Amino acid sequence: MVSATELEAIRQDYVTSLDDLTFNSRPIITNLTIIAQENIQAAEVITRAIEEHISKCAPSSKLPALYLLDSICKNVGSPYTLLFGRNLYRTFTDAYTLVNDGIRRKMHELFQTWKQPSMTTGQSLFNQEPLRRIENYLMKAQSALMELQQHEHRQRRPSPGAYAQAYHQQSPTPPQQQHVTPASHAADHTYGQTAPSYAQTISISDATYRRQDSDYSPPPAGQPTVTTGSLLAEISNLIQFTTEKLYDNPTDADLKTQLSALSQLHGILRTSSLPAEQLATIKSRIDVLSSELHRNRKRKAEIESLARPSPKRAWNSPSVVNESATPVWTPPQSQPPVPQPQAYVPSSLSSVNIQSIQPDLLASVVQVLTQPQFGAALGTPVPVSIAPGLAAAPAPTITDPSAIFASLKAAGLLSMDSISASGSNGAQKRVRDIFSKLLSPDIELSNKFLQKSRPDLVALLYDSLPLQCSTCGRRFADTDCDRIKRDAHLDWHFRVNKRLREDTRGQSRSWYLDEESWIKFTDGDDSKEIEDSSGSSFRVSGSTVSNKDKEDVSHKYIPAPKDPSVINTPCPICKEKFKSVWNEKAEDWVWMNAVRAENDKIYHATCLRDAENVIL
Amino acid sequence: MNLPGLSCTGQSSITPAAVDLRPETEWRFEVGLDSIVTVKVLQGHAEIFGTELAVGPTYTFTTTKLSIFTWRGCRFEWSGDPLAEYISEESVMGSYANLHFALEKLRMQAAEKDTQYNKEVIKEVDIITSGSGQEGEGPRVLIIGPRNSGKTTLAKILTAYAVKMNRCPMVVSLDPKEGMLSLPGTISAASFSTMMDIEEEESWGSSATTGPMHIPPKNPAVYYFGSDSPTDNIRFYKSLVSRLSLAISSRLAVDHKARISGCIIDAAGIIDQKEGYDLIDAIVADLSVDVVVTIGNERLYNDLLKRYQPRKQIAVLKVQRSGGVVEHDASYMRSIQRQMIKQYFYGPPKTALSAFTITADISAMTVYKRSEQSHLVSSSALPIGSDETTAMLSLVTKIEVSPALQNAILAVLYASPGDTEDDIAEASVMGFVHVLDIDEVKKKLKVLMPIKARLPSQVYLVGSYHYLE
Repeated sequence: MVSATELEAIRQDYVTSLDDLTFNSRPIITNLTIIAQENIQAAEVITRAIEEHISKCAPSSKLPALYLLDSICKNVGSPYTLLFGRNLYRTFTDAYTLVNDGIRRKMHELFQTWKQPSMTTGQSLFNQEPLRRIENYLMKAQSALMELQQHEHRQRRPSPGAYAQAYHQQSPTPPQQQHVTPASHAADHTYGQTAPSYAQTISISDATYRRQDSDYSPPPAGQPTVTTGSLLAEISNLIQFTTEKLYDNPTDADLKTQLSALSQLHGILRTSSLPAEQLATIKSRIDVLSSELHRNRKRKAEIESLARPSPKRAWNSPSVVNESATPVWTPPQSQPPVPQPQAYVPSSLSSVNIQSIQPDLLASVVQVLTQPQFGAALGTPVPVSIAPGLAAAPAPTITDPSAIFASLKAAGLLSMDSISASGSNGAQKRVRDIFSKLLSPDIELSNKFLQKSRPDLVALLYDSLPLQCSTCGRRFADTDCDRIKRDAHLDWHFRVNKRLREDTRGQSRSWYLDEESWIKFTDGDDSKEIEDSSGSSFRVSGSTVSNKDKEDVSHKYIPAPKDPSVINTPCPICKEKFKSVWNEKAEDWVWMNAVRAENDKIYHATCLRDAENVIL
Repeated sequence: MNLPGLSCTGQSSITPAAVDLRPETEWRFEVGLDSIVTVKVLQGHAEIFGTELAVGPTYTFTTTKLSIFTWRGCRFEWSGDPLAEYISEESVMGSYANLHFALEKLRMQAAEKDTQYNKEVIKEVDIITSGSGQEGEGPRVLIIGPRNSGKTTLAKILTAYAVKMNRCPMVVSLDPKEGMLSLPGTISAASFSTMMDIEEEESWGSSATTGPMHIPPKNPAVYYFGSDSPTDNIRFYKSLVSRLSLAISSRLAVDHKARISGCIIDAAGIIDQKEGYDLIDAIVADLSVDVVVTIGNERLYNDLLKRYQPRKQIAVLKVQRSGGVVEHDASYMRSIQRQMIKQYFYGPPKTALSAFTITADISAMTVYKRSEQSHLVSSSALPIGSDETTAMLSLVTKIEVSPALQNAILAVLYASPGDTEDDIAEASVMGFVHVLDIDEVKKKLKVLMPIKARLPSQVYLVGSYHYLE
């Protein structure tokens, strides 16, 4: 254990080092990440130091600080992901309100990488809860901005250029702020570019904590091998792209539909193992979709560059940098073969066109899934309308995700029955196979077997359980259900640490359970406690019995006494008076949550229960 | 990366020593009373009695004899002031692990045929099987050996590996000298669904407290025998074992996961006397033991083989004792027991607990002690058929609260003063109090309580343990 003074020393040093992080510098971020990793025992104070720094530092320094948070969480992982996740909503949104639009855009991008399921664990970086809240927040912020823009829009010339200008004039920060950012653009460009390599160099614990990815293997160039991993990455990219579009067009129902379809597909792929040929088929469809997306963007970029005067390009360029600055680890094979660096057109520009195109693409996916001559569908020229308000798409054929699945099923791509029935994936099967080794007849209770050297069996203790908690060393199998358990286990650590930190009253040894309670008692696995986390404090202290009591006693009541001296006597424990209420059942005035104790005094039922819990 | 002030130094002035352990070797060390050794694993797989250490965190040990074993090799650093430390190449872990795997196979087979278990638990177990309508029972292993042969160590290793495999074994400690999750003088049982706290290795971790713990606490059923050796009062001991077995059977009837996982029973180290074998018989019968493992004693192995071999359903095995097992001399045993008493009231260094002193009337306390064995008339001097007379004598006797109880550890029983002596004799333990002071003139006594409460109006049972803070 680290003493309080050592913790304080670590905190002080970290706070001092944080002050240097005024611009986006990869070396500083890397260093601070390594320090955070080396002082993992001081994770809580470091987390707090960073959170404080983010909230207190100048707006221009907030982004690098958020990148540091991102770097620590992605490279060190637990417990930082848990610790930061706790206040993530506040940390993120407080910063968001104070920065200019350029930084906001980057925060959007950063947020997208958090939401994107990790390639290796298949889960997003943080818990769903804060991510969902941030997402809602961002959506609201965006739609508010959009309204404002549309308002502006109507008053001005209805052209994309003006639109873009309006977007920038709405920026709450003074214009000169815009000029501060190019320096950091350049710097975070490097951070972003090199992110994968530094991730490899310092992620020592990462490798043990995260699953050693066996599904994902980058295929050699030119010869695409389809794996679930690569497919997942590709779909994630599409999801990300669609999400970006969506926060530019928060009201677009088609985009929402497409997004949910994609994430469902993502979910299915993640939780089930499909035969290689099915993967290949899905992959080819997805390829079509993404190449269409990119062709589309390209064409739009061309149209736009033709339609607009050159100054727009200048406006455009920082955003291109933004794109590469995003600290996403984009797997190489999912990068579309589009040479142009401006493949990602700033979303605000594309918003006009994309609305008309997305449903088409969606429909085309479904079409290609059902009919072989899919080329025709894609060859159809997409009507490009620059006039605003004319976004109404050519009637989407199928936008309902369930319909997509129906057609997927019809095409024999997905066998939903097998997926829902077994619920097991390849990893789970592997674990089962390893364990079935134990059933071999040579393993037996005999002195001869005990003397044998069987290093192969030792693998069951370690290799079959590759996921490990970095706090206590507990191991988990690399299966979906164990991963859920692992997460619950990490949550449990977090809750316990939080309570140990907050609970200053100190604790005492509890009495042992009596025979009857002990017989009925089922030892909770810590990871299972999450299910009834409402009573976690009781579970942690080891008594399910008292938990039950808690629910029961507050309903107790006694008839309101008539004796005036008694009426004014408060509960001897909390010193609060009782209130008379009419009780329908008793058809009388009663004191709720009250009991008459043996000594004839009247207590609050809950007060007495608490007192007795201490006594007995 | 080393910024000034950011490198964290250990508590001791001794600079940390790094150790590279080659595969299948172990580092043994011994920490004296009130001194501390810290260990931090830098890389690789390291385990203490089967429980794996996490890479990174610092573990603190006090008053203990341990070994860090590695299957695959590991690197760690330690600092502090151990009484002894050395690396041993010789290890019996191979056979201990094989024993675990053989038991695990039986658990898998038990799980396979248990429908109830499959229905309730299978969702969280990776090995999917189909039930055949029966109740599967996991192996019930009894570990027997001479004193200081490493019985408890083997029990811990088997428990830790079973927990690692997502089992929930019922661990039964029948050695009053050691006391599991409780004080010396007790016998106890607890199901282990989560890992052992290796920093509180001597007591197998910690029982529940009023607050959260870093390692989930275990909940034992505890019975108070009151002294180190079962032979001090074999009749009382047997009665307690039967009672504990009854509770375990009831628990296993409803707790499917624990039933499939079976029992791991750590027996007391008495084997030399005839009483010893009788006792083993009683335990085997009470707890339906089906695997008997003997450690490091060929004669014991052969005796038991003769005894149980005809009954085919009981497997008798032998394993070597570990060279790391050290003779616990009496004074060392005392310091461990002291440590356990201290940690019961005040917690381990990592989680400090508060204990409370209260003053009460002497009359408020009803104290029993177990009846002296010598009170029984030697059976040889009795006419035939007098066994009944013996049975009629109660196992516990009420005593007066007197200054003799000063500094005594009293077990608080789940029995009230009105209960019969038979009920009191087999009541389970609620907790312990420590008598700090008795004032005969004022008829008052001062008692140390583990939690803030009134003095429980229960029956107290005194044993032979005293404690001075």
